[in-house]
Amino acid sequence: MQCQRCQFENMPGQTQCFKCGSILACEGRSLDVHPPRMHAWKRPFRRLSRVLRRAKRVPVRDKPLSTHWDWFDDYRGETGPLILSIIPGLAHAKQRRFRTVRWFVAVWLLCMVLACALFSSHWGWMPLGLGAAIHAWIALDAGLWKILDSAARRLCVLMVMFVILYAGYRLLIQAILWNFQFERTVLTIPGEAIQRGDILLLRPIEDPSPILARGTLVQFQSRMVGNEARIAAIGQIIGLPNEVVGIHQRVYHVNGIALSIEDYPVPAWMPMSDHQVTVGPGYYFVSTEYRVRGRQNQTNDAIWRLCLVSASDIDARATMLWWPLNRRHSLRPD
Amino acid sequence: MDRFSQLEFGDVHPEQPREPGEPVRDVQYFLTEAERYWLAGDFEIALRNFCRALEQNSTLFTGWSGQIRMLIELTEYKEADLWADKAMDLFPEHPELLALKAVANKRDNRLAKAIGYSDNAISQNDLTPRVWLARAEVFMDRQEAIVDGCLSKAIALATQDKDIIKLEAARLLRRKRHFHRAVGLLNEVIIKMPKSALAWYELGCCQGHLGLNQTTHSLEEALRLRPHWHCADEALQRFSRRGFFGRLFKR
Repeated sequence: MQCQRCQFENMPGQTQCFKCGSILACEGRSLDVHPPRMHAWKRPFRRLSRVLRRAKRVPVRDKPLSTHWDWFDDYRGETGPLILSIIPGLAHAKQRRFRTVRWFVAVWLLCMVLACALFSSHWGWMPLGLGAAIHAWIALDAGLWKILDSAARRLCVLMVMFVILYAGYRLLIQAILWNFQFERTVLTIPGEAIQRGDILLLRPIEDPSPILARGTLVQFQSRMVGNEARIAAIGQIIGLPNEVVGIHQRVYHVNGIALSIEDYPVPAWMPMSDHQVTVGPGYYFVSTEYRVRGRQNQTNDAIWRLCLVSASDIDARATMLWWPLNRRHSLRPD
Repeated sequence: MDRFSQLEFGDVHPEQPREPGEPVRDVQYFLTEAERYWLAGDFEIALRNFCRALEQNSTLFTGWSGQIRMLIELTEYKEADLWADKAMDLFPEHPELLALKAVANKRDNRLAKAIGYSDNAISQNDLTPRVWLARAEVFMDRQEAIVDGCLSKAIALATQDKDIIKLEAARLLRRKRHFHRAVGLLNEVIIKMPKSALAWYELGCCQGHLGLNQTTHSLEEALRLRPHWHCADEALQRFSRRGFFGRLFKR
């Protein structure tokens, strides 16, 4: 009697194979051949328990971990996902997981667009951080998840990668935008839809010789009364070189012509009385808000000293009202 | 009825009257029927046919392994594991039974046990293609190279039932979301077995995930071969409802 499994020729009358133990005949044995079945009510509970068991991961075999940080040495060679995660979607494209590629790229692009739109605001770094987190998540999902076998290690790697990538993003942005500055203004100019606290995008002035237009918002080195210290401030150019600037009933007059109060507002600290000054060559009359202490008549003389700014002290000019988003527009002075 | 008709004398049983052309309902008939129903995606009826085959010959390994496979298809993993233990009383340490236990445990998210059974299975002699398929399934979420190698071995090892093994490999690839490779295998299977509703259904699902236009044709073909199959019907509705963005992003 030949065994069907191992082809061993057994003696006639044998019920089990002498070599492999498989059954040859079931004479005299009653076998139940109907398998047990699951009750329908158990199905959802079984499914739930399967889902719960999925969270529990099995450690990678053949890699005994002796000390706390030995696992890092074991996985040191697995840098592929880390490198590939720098370009979103590349790691998954390599694994031919194209559906995942689309999602990662779409979410990453959305984060980048949001980061650009919200840049320099309070929320600006959040989408950038999310973008960095997506890189870290890609690295985990593309391979590290399978290699690292505990939640603590995954979290540790995720956090370290996030911090490195976030720092990388900040350095990259600083490298790209090295020629730009973002500053908050203290001025309110209704004609330009600018309010106190808005953020302006500034570009440095390389060559101070060309005359700046009236109304240009500039960053300049503002002097202080009583000491020689200087601080950077945002101001609006009112008077150009060789012009006569006057204040009459809290309205600026240039060469006797009144300027629009909407476009050229007089700061609150300016005295109520009328004044007039001639702007010298190489100087601008720059209007800005100062915090003035002391009696009014003592500050009157200082007004002109504060407002007359040398062209070489002007560092940058505002090109755009950057924030808030709903009022974002480019600034085009007269 | 004769009063002595039910007495057993150990002699020849009276044969049931049979219609002319009616097939002989022997073990092979039930095994063929079971495979036919499996290829139609009707795992419950396939299981019943395996039971009927075993009722006639309980030493038949194909019947036991088929029963366990059908229990796994019906997501009754605990029962499949239990039944594999019982089958192993008859076929001790059979690699295919160990492999089926590994699959049952893997799908039940008991990965450690599944790996153990799979290791045990491949350490045995006379490996079958399903041992390698099970190995591929166990390591499906972990290591790409192992899975590809196991699938290649399974297909190479299959002789008579190569198309069945290809179909199972394609189903595995679909679970792994390697739709393009699964479509390649399923196209080969369908050329050989055009009447398999399961193959058409699997092909339709893969094509649907890839956003191909042939999805509707494949699923309709599956429904034509097995009318009122709710899985194919649902899949057809799901894929036909998708708009442009659905096709683009739900691949």
